[in-house]
Amino acid sequence: MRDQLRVLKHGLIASWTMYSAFQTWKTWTFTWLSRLLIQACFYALIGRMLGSQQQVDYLLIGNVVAIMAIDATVVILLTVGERQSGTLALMVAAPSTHLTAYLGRGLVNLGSGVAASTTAFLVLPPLFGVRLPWPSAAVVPLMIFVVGLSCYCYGTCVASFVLGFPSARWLALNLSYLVLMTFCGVNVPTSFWPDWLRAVTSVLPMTHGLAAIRAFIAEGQASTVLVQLGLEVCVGVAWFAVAAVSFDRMVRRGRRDGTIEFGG
Amino acid sequence: MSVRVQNLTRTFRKGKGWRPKGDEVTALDGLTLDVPTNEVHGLLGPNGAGKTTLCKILSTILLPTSGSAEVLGHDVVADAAQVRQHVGIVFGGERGLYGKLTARQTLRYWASLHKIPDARAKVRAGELLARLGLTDKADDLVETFSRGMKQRVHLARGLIGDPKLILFDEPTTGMDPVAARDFRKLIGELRDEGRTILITTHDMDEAEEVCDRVTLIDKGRVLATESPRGLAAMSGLHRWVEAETSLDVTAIPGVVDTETRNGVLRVKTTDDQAARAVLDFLLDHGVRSVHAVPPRLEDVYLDLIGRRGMEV
Repeated sequence: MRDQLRVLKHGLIASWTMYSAFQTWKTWTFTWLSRLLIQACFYALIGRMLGSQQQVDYLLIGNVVAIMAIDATVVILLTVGERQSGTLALMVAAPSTHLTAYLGRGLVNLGSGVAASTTAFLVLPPLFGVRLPWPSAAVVPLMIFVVGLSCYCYGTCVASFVLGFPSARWLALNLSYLVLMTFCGVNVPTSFWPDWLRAVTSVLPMTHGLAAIRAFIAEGQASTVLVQLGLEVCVGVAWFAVAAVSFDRMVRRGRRDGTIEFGG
Repeated sequence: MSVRVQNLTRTFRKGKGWRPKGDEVTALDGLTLDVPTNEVHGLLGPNGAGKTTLCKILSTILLPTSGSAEVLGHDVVADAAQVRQHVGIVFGGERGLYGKLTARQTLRYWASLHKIPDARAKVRAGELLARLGLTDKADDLVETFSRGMKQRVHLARGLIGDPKLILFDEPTTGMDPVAARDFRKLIGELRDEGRTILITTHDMDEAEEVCDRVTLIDKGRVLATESPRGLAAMSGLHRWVEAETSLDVTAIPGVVDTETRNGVLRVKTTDDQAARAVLDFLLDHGVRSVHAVPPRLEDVYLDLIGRRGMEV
């Protein structure tokens, strides 16, 4: 366990170094954060156009949380990048498990997601007249973090499949978070979907976490909030388990068919 | 014995996609090889001979189709986790590095993947950086390094886990002559530390200089395993003459081949008598710098594998 934590730590240091090489706090704020805030505003304005504050509340909160999903799923690009930079073989041949190394590589993006989503949660609701139950609303960023972890595990799982098809990484990234945006209650309530599709959304990240946040903001029952959060954690753990198995299978397959190359 | 390979075969199927359906290609064809502990062993052969495939199997990133391979007594298939603790990999070129990390960060990152505690990793990274002449550049981004310096980072990374067996796959690719000379010196030091080194290279001079024994591989099979000098003795009756001249000697009976490199003519002859004829011819034409020389590893390589083997 200690060894794995050390890999996570150095993976985080490495990813922070690489991240900060092309992103300063200024560029993060004025390009990345502003792009995410504008996206959330766009959907909130649709709610306003529909003439319903209830719609504004729904769309804004949904899209504020969805920001987390966008950042968390960037792990797909980072893990596939290992193959492109020629470090995959070295990772596989190292004594430590490569899954931990992969997990460590995207932690900065997870942090970026929490920061962006929290900023959006603090800044945008007053602009659109969304009322929050302060001071208890201060707990929401923690709930957003839980959603982020769950999305991160989902992204890692998708990455494990995409490693075999590196050219599909951008398609996979966009599809991954668009699926969450479309089906997990961000813009359209999950109750809108047919039963079979609703069953699918219940095993996707964000569905339960977002439901918990909505229930918390609406000052719903604590038990509802806790159950939904618990389900979100379970979904994250399940995606992590699939990711672990899938990474292992990817490496086994690579060793079998010779697709893990020195330097490629 | 550090490496024991028995009857190792690896086949691939050509083509792309999840299940390639092309022709089957044999990369290793019943290859058998023993590398004793503390030996510098060279693997020589043309492109596609199977050298890198062998290294990949020994480093556990590729499974053999049949046969067995052991590293320090651990089977590369059944005990892959054990093997990984003892093997270091160094390959040539610029890939395999994170350009946005410094040399020190690179080593600390890979140290964590080799399960080295932080305190020890810090000391070891410092030692390796000093050993490879990178102390002054330790905190510079790797992407700003010259190709030779990047290769030194590769070397340091390969050594961070204190491996007992080091696999070098074309390690001097891109190195300037000075860096290549330093590399050869380093190989000697690593052997003195009791490590075993398996090195694939196209550079015959390098192999001749650093290797205790070399194995010539072609089409996945071992053609010969010997010391460089022992291999030279396998060159049959051929004799070589070297001279600083531009004279044409190809018409002399018994001359098999000629080559001029850096102003030095190198003549391959069929036997002693032909070599003497060449010497006489050159001396008669006033050439003063002329020698009969023993065959080099490169000559034996060319005899056994042919000119196509030199196509890198």
